[in-house]
Amino acid sequence: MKKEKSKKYRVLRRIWHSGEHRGVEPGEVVSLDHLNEKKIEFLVKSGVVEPVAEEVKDEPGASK
Amino acid sequence: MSQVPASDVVVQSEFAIEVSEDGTTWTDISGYANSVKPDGGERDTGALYTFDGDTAVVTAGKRKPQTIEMDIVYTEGANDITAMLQGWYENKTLVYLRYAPKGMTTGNWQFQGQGYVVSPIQPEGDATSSDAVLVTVKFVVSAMVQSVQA
Repeated sequence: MKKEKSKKYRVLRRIWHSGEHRGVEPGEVVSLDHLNEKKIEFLVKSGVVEPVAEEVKDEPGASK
Repeated sequence: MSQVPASDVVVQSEFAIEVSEDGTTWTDISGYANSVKPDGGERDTGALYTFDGDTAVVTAGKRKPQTIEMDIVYTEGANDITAMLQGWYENKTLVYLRYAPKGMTTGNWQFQGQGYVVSPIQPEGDATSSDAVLVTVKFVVSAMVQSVQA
């Protein structure tokens, strides 16, 4: 059974989400899949976002 | 507090400025823009006196719109910035404007608003100058919102 991991980040300071083309206010949880690891690491280190517990999603049609 | 570290200082000449009609596809006009000057946005306040005391009861209200004035190098190409801005002015096109003092890079601050070009794009000349001709453009937006690019 193949599973897909989705990394999510809680926004701590208002951001312009260049992947979704919108402003995001602090508190919202977003995906940053459009950024590479280095850029995400920089945002985390700068206190702009923080990682939240990983969600594990079953692929459609996968047995439970 | 000690002096600001040199590595934290932002140089004025590094600004990046972009415009867009849909907030998704942006046109970088940094190569045409010479200056950017934000103005306005002051918050209205009330001042009311009571019979007691000597000073007012001050209250905070709404914020005024902002004006962003830019000087742009004047060119005459049909698809150039000058023509684009003039078109937006004539057609009352709702557009986005954003600028980033340290450039458009993840982690940098940007200031973004949506509004209208409110001034005609017309060049002025000076017989003693050898500089490029500039046009001044004024955008009026409800607010320039600060955010971190991510």
